[in-house]
Amino acid sequence: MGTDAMREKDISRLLTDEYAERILVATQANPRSVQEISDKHDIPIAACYRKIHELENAGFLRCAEIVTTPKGKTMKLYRSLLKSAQLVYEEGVFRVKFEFDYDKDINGKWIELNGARTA
Amino acid sequence: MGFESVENGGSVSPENDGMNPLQASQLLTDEYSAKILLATYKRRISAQEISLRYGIPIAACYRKIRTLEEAGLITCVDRILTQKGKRKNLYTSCLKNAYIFFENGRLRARFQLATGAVRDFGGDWNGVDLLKQ
Repeated sequence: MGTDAMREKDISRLLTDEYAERILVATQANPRSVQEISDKHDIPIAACYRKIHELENAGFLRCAEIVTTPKGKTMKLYRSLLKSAQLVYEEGVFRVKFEFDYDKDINGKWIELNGARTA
Repeated sequence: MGFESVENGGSVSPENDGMNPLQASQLLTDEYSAKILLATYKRRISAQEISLRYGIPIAACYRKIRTLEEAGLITCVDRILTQKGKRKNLYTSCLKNAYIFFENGRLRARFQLATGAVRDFGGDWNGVDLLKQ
């Protein structure tokens, strides 16, 4: 249970990471390439790749399409899978709730993080 | 990315310190900040003690306390004299509730302080049923 709580905490931190947040916003409506996100949202390209992989591993992003550029290079387009997220702090307890575009075990469930009572 | 701090309602405090919703929510999701908020919840505690109990490096602990204090989320309630004659600040949390919502590609944050003041970041909270669970 402890490790689970940590995982959710990591996820909620990922959400408020500046680059991660920009990437999630950028890929909300349409699939975008890493290069495009990096250019448009002013994220250094290496950091952009790293964050995108982090978000992909955490189930926040998915490679929606692989396109071939005119130069013959293949390029992955990513789309956000996160519909909504809520972090609530009440009476000394942190809780998070996520809603994803696909079936995920934590969809719509309030997850209690370590609170003042247990910490 | 162009987030505007929007104030609504009568009880909103005048200044938002120019924080955007992302910065505001980072006050809660940063590991050390979250620990400090929990440590000071309904308690008066010194930086030293927080550092020891929650495993936060002392310099980082002082720095985060300063940040939280400037944001109005914790406050120094007492300066006591230690046995060695040193002054020690005791802090307590002023944060009653906090809500951070990410929806439709937008991030919003709301802090409710113990004083009853409400601070909103990132736009309109009207009509949001916070307690719909």
